Amino acid sequence: MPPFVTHRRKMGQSLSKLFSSFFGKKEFRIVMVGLDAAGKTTILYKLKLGDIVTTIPTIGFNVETVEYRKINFTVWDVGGQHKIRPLWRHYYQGANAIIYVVDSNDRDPERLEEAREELHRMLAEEDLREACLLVFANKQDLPNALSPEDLAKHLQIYEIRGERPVYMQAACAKTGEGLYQGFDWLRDQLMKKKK
Amino acid sequence: MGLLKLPGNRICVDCKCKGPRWGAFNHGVFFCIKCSAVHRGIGRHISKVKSCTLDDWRQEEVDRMEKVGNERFNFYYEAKVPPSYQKSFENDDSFRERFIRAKYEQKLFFDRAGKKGSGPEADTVQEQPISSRSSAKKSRHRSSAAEKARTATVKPTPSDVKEIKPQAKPVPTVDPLDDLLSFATGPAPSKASVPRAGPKPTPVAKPVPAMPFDDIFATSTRSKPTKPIVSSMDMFSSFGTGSSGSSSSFSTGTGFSSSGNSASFPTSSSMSSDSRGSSSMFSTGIDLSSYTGFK
Repeated sequence: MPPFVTHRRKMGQSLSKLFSSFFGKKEFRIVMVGLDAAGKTTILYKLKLGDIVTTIPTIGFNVETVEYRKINFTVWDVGGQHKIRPLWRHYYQGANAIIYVVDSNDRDPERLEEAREELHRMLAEEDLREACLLVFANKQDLPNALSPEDLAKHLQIYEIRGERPVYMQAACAKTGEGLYQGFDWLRDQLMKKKK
Repeated sequence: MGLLKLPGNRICVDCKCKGPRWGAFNHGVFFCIKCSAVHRGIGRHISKVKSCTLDDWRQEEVDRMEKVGNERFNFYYEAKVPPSYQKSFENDDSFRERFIRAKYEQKLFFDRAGKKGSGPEADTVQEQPISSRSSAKKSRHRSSAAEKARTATVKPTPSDVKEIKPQAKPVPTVDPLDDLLSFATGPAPSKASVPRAGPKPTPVAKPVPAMPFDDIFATSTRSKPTKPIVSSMDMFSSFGTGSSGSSSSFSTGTGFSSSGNSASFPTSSSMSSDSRGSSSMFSTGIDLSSYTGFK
């Protein structure tokens, strides 16, 4: 983090404006995808509002800018139903990172397979070659949830770990747990890259 | 097939609004998008939600929707629901979640009465194992009683509906999936979906799609002592006073704007009271770039 940030308040508004225009605020574009009902929209609004909203299925997308540790993340949350998954790729261009959300509570082998397929299909996209990958093993609060380790095996994440920075984070969108750890990692990765 | 055109499936299985476009294939029911939100929120261990228009359906899922349907499902799962509940949907937004949780998670309105111990109906109950209290013996016993009750009254029951259903198929289409989805392009449900020559029973046994509930409620009152009904009523009255749930605190954009304190969870109090001792799980992720725990 640039040192000026810590002194910003002391220096007064106009000066801080000048500084921030000089250094520019760090902005990153993030695409958040995953199967339907994985919890993408809930995560997005938990980040944005700090609160749980009852979300109806996303038909299309939601986009919000969330500020975290002086960085602006523009998060695109795209609907996960079968027929709108082909639209994901239209959001890939220029994305710095992907957040892939998985419902850990869903042990249905077919769904796990589906999640694995979609993930690897996505990672094969040229537009995402440079993007780092954060996987949220969501819904860890539910009793039947798979551990992040198991989920990583099911999703065959270890196969891609040489290709790009990958991080698996246990999360619970309802309480917010894990979300910030995930973003800490994301931030570190993105800042590293920028240097 | 035109499952969504069947009388019972034209209204949401939960809030009874028109034109449901979402479904839970493990239950075999159709509901509206608002109710689908609640079902999804509960989790896939309770309801496996799919969109009729935006999701692909497997044959066995379609079969299940065909086997069960809203009308039959509610015959059992809303058997003990208090009559006035529907108004609450209009008056109270949080009622929807409480109602759906009560209906599917706690199964408070479920009653086996009227159930035949065979066919797809048995299937229904098998996949939704009800509270361990209701043993198989009990059900057999009760169903025979209900059987009598049913033959005595000429009230429509799901089994009547079931008998009609095969003929109620509009046209035996090649791909039921296409047909299931066809409503999207087709006009509003019309009489075309009703069997042309089908020996549809005359008004005596004609299912009343809009009001199956009253009948069901009446029969179940007869075959069951009043106590369970009272208890479910009690449950409802507690609904009324229920939590104001997610009030305020929208403005408290905590967490993210707070300076660099990554460990602060705005509303973690609810978790800590019910953390199942797993909070440590969140403390570290797995950085797979360097992780060698696999293989």
